[in-house]
Amino acid sequence: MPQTQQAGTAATLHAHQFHLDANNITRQERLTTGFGGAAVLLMGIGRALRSPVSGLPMAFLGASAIARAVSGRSRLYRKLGVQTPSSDSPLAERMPNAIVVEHVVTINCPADKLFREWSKLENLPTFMHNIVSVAQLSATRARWIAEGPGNRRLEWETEVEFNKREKLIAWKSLPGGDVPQEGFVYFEPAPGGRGTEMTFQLAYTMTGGRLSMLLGRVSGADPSQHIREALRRFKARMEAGEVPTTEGQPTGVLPQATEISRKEAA
Amino acid sequence: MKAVCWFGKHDVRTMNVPDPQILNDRDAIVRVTSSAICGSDMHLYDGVMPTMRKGDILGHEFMGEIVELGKGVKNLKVGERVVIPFTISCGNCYFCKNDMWSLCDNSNPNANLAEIAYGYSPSALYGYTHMFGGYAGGQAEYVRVPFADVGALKIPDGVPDEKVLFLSDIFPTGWQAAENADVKRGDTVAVWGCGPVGLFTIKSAYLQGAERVIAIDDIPYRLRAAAEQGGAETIDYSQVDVFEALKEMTGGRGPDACIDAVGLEAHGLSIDALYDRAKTAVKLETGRAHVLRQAIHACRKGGTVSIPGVYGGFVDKFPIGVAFAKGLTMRMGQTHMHKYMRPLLDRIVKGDIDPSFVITHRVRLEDVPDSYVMFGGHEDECMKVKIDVVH
Repeated sequence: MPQTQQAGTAATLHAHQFHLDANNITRQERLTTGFGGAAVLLMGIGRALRSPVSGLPMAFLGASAIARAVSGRSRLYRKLGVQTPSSDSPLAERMPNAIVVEHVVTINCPADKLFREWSKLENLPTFMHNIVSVAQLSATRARWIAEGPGNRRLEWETEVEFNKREKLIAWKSLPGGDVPQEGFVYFEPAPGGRGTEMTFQLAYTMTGGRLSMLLGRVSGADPSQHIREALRRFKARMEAGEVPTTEGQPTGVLPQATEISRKEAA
Repeated sequence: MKAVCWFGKHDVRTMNVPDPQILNDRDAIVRVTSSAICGSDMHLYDGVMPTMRKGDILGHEFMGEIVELGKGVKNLKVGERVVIPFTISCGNCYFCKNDMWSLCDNSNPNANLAEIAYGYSPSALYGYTHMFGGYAGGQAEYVRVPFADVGALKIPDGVPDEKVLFLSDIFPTGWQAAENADVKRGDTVAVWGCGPVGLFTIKSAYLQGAERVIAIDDIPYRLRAAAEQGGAETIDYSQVDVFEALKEMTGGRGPDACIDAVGLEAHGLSIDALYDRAKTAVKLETGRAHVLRQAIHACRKGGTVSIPGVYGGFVDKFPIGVAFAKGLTMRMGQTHMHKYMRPLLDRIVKGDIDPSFVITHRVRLEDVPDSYVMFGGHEDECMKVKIDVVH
């Protein structure tokens, strides 16, 4: 029995998985960066002949942009946890400019319990603080409202598939939403009785593309960071029964706080 | 309530601040009766630990009386006396379940900060930087205690505060230091640092079967305490070469175990110590590892080096080749408090040890800013400052 279940899981996962590339810059971005870099390099060399102080750094900047385009890898994106689908994956066809985030966490709880909890989509705002609400419209449809960068209200509807046997929840946005996306979460037992490994993948596009993603990152509204923190809160809730917090505790900088003069006390 | 707050390097003030409130179901509010200043608080006072913020309430060694309980706490009652461990642990994650309490997965609300620095986040601590949770600490009249159902240790009536207060940190920390040093019957153990943790390490090493303990420091009154209260032989590093002295005292073998109870603010007179001082002064290094290097160098072949002293970031010239060539074992980390508190309480009640021997000064919350100056400057033969919060 476990044999067939494993095979089933593998097949379903294969259908959903995004097939990520080690490269994390899209083809279009590589071309732009490459040509832009070449132009900056040439200008830098030209200027360096007159003034090395301003010319050399410029030439270096151009050269590193070319390196980024040729390698297809951005250290900045790597640091930010940004990935892209490999060019031959089905996702690349469906969402060629997708930004993909993936996070995984191990939770000391049985997989079916975790699957049941995450299936209550209307509870997700407890864990995902950028999601304002999720309404389950039918067994296979949900409506999401989120707060984007600059307090922008974002809305979309998704088809949702709950695969109880394989502990997989997958969703895909319907046309017309603010954040076109596909995503899935699945739960599988960790080795050695160490609980359950929860994997979360999300591919999305946004108006403004990566620039808006980077702005979101700076303003604290980056989906990747939100998802990481959501998984952390979910783990704490499921393991410890509550999410750790210090919000509302006293400190010495509150307006009510006053210094006690030692002379006065004595 | 009154609370001791951090405002910057060498700037600690006693403030009137709002009382803490229950924020989660497993919280308790403790009315503090006794508190203390820890040697590791000096790292905050000296401004060498990153992610402190102005107004943070200090203190992680405290005990008191339960005055309020969250609705998730069933095993405690209002009015009960408790000692609180300085590490905050959920009791349910893989690490808590496996007795690695100070590595709890679920207590640090700022785990992302610790992950940036360390890859993974250890447990949160009271009053000890935002990277370790930013929880308000225990040099205060009241403290909010998260996960009180697994953290708070009930104290039997009739056992005075001073005997059990140090179950909150330094006694278990000294005990774990000796356990991490794998002390066996007949062993000779060398302990660097004769502050309160060093003294508890010396006592613990004897209780765990060490035959000889050699204590190393350069402050006369601390060496005297190690000898008189700990029963250790002593080495004054300002007078003799530590390596040669240890070698000579151990028949040319070297100590079986070496324990660094000093940590990242080590002082020393050798070239590497001066090098560390220069580099930390310009922030190229975050800790001075002179003691650690010396412990590794002095340890016998196949011996164990145990590190209860706190390190926060990076040190240079770590003699990994020495440790490798001699096949050393090294163990370290914050204390797995919850594992040790109850058995050590039993030892106190039985009379094996009375931890109150370390107290040299008793002060009120209002006096604590002055006490930091005194303790940090080793003035007035200060070993341990106990804060009488209720007096």
